[in-house]
Amino acid sequence: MIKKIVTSILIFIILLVVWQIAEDRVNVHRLENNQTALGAFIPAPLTIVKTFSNDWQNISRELGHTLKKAGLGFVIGVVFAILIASIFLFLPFIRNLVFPLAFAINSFPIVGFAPAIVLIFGQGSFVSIVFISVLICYFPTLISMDTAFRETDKSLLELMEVLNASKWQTLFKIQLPLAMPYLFLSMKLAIPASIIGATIGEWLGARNGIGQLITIALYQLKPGLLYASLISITIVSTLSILVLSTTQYFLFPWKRGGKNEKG
Amino acid sequence: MESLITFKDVSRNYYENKKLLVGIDDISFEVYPYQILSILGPSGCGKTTILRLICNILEPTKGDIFYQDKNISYARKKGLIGLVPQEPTLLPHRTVEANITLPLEIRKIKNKEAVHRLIDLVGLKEFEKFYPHQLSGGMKQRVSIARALVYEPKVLLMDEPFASLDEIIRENLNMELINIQRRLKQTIIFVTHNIEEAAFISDRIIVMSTRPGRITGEIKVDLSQDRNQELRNSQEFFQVVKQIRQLLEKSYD
Repeated sequence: MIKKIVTSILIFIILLVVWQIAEDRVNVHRLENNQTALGAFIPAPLTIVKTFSNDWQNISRELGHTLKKAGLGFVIGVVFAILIASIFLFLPFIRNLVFPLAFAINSFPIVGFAPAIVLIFGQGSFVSIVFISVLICYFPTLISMDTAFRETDKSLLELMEVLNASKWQTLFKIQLPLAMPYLFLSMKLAIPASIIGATIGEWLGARNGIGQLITIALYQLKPGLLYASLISITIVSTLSILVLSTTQYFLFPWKRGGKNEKG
Repeated sequence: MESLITFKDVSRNYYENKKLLVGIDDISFEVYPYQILSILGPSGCGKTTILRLICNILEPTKGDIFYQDKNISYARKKGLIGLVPQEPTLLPHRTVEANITLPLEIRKIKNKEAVHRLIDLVGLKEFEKFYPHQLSGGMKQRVSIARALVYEPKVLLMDEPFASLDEIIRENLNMELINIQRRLKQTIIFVTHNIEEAAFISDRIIVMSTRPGRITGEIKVDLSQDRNQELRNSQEFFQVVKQIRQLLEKSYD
């Protein structure tokens, strides 16, 4: 495990060093020929690091704004998806009606759909950005919860029937707990999705947030800031997923270890 | 003796690939209290169907099933029926203890004492906090039995519960089951396709034929009530086995 981590960190560092050296060399060459330095398009790793230290306050403040919206979008999206999946479970005819619609909404290209939402809730408004975030992250959760509910071991459901359990008891004692690993898997997909959603919303015009910072960096030709913004998002996504994985490990001891350890 | 469960001219049809098939056909029998009744027959004779009918998760196509003088659905609603399915079907996310507590939770009863008594009874005292994936097949089946017994159902239905276990463990569990039955004064309906198993544990045996499932005959087992492992080597036991075998062979004609 530790060996793996060390190896991937090493590879990462080597990549960065190669990048830095290559860019420096190319820049020397370009400047000799009176061309614009490459750093105007692709910042070198050291430039990004410098931007991070100079603009740290700026980036972290905007990141905070984005995470507030993305976080709210994520929570609403996931709760909404669990509710819908539960309704599908209890009322299959609604599932037949609604599921095609859910698929349709998910297949809208979000960059095209986001402006439509901005039109409804207002440009750069908190609500529209949260809404876009919800829209982009509810789907993986809905699909996986629905699958989990439909694939619950039939013999367990029959057991509950023999024990004369109510539908609610079956939901809370069997279906929901067994769906938890699926839920966590989908949340790992939904976290980056919700941040992407919020960023796109801000990108279309907002007074704050990483999306807005990216727009500014683009117009002011500050590639260092642009890359630093992107990397800050990546770091947050990765850390959240790490936290989720750890929680999952402690929450579901019954999922640890192989199933076939004993016959 | 007054009958506890009565099948009266019961048939159950089912569809397979849109073809109507007769599962069990015109079956009548009684189950007497405090006895172990085995249902023995080739695979596909409708043994499991009979248990599902008693559990009331299937309805008969024709005929009636009674619990004493009431419809069988009364028995499930009152929690008088316990089922040990063929596979242990434990909840993978619950420990042994929590699995056995499940039926009590559903009835909103708190009785930790009963749970621990049963864990003791099936010999899983040190495994209370284990999860199903940490247990062997035989241990899982014991949990399943304890879970079915924890709410003290009047009737215990067992669907080839030991079919997937090896011979020695099966024989030990047969013994344990009889001890439990004697102590708790259970009525047990035991489905099996193993002749010796049926002979060893039963008070009565119903032998069935296949397609459609009908009753070929019934055997009253006249062995001593005190069943132990020595019995398996006795002359009387071989007699019973022979008797069952002859009847079962007829089922295949």
